[in-house]
Amino acid sequence: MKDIFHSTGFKALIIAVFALLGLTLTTAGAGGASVSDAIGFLSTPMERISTLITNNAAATAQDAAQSKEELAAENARLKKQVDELNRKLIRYYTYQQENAQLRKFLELKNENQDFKPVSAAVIARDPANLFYQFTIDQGSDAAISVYDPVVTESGVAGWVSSVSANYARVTTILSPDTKISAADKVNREGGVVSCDIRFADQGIVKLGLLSEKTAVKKGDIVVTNGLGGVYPRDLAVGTVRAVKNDPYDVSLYAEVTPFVDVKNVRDVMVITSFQGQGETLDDGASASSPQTAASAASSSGAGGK
Amino acid sequence: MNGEGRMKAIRFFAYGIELLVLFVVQETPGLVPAVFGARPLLVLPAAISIAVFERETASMAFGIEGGLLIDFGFGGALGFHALLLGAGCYLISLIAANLLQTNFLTYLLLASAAEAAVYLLQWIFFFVFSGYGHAGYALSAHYLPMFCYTAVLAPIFYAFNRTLALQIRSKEE
Repeated sequence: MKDIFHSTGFKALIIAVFALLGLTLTTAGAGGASVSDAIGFLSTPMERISTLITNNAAATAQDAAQSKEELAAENARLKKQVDELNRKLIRYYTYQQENAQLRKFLELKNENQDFKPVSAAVIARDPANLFYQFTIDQGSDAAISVYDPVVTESGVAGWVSSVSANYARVTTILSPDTKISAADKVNREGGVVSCDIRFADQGIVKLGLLSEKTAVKKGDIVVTNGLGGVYPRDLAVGTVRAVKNDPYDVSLYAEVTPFVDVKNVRDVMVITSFQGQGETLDDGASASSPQTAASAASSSGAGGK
Repeated sequence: MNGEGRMKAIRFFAYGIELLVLFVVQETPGLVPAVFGARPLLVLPAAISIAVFERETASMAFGIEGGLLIDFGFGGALGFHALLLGAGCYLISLIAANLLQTNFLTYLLLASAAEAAVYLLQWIFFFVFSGYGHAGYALSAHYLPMFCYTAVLAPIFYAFNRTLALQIRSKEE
C-alpha cells in the first residue's frame, strides 16, 4: 500500500483533483462556458435525436397496445367529442363576430404585437433536478438570452436560467428560484408567485403576500402584472385552488394550479423581446434576476388594487 | 500497437461510448420511466462498475468523464461530480485490486456506498446549501428513491461491463 502514494496513478489523481477543483470554482462563477459548450456541442444533437425517437416510439406503442374494444370505445368517445366541438365552433364564430365588433368600437389593439417569440422543443430533463428544470434545443444563436420568459399557449412555464450557443436551460415555475410578480385578474390584487418542494410535488404554486382582507377566491385567474421587467403583463399563470393562512405571518396565500404542466411539457416558446423587458433590471444594481419581480411586487404593495 | 494495446484501446473506446449513450438515455424525457417520481443516474453505477475491472488511472479517467456528463446534465458547476467520481473510482479500483476480492457482492457494496455518498453530497451542496426549504422532506421523498432506483439498476452495469472487460482483453493483460 505504501507504494501507492509514489505511483504514477496517484500523482495523476492529485493533478486531476486540483484541475477539477479549479474547474468547479471557475464554472461556479460566470466562466467555464467553453467546457459546457464543448459537451453541449457533442450531446445536444444526440439528445435531440433521442427525444424524437422516444416521442415517436411512445405514440406508436400507444396505438399498437389498444385492443378492439378500446378502439371502439375511443371511437365513440371521439364522436361525442366531435359533436361537442361542433357546438363550440358555432359559439366560437358567434363570439368571434361579437369580438370583432367590440374591437372595432373600442379600438382595442393587439397587446402582443411587441412579442418576439422563438419556438423550441424540450430535449433533456435531468433526473437529479428536483424542480423539473429542462433543456431546450435553441440557444443564443436564436437570440435567446438569460431571464427570457418561457411560455406555452396555456401560460407561463418558466424562464431561461442559462444559455449556450445551441441549447438553453429553463428553470420552471415550480422552482423555488422562480418568483413572479402576479395579480388576480378578477380584482387586480397583487402578490408574488413562488414555490417550494412540497408545492412542486403537488404541481402547484403559491400566490403569497396577500393581505388579511384579500378578495382573492377559488376559481380566480392569476396573471403576470409586468412588474420587474422579466415577464410581460397579462401572461396566464393559473387558477386559484384555495386561499390559506401563511403559517409564518399574518398574511394569506393562495394555492394556484398552473395552466402549464411543466412536468410533461414538450414544446415551448421563448419570448426574446417584449415591451418593458428588463426595465427594472437595468434600473438598480441589485435588481439582476427574476427575484426582482418579487421585490418589485412587494414594494408596490401586496394588495395593490 | 501490439495486441494488448489494441484490445485496451478498443475496450476504453467502448467504455467512453457506453457512458455517453447512458447519459443521453438518462437525460431523454420519458425514456426511463419514473418510479415514485424518481429517475436514476445511469452514468453513476456504470462508472463504478468500470472501476471494479480496470486499473486506477483508467478508472479515474472514466469517473471524470461520467462526472463531467452528470455535471453538464445537472446544470450546476462543472467539476463537482467529476471530482467526486474521479476520486471515488480511483479509490474503488484500488480497493478492488488490493483489499477486496472482485465479485458481485463486493461490487454491490462498493457501488451502494459510492452512490449513497454522491446523493448525500448532492443533497447537502445543491439543496441544503441553496437554502431551499423542507430539506428533510427532499431527502426522504426524492434523494432516497433516486438512490434506491439507481442501486437497483447497478447489477445490469456490473454484468455488462464484466462481459466487456473479459471479452475485450488480450491474454497478456
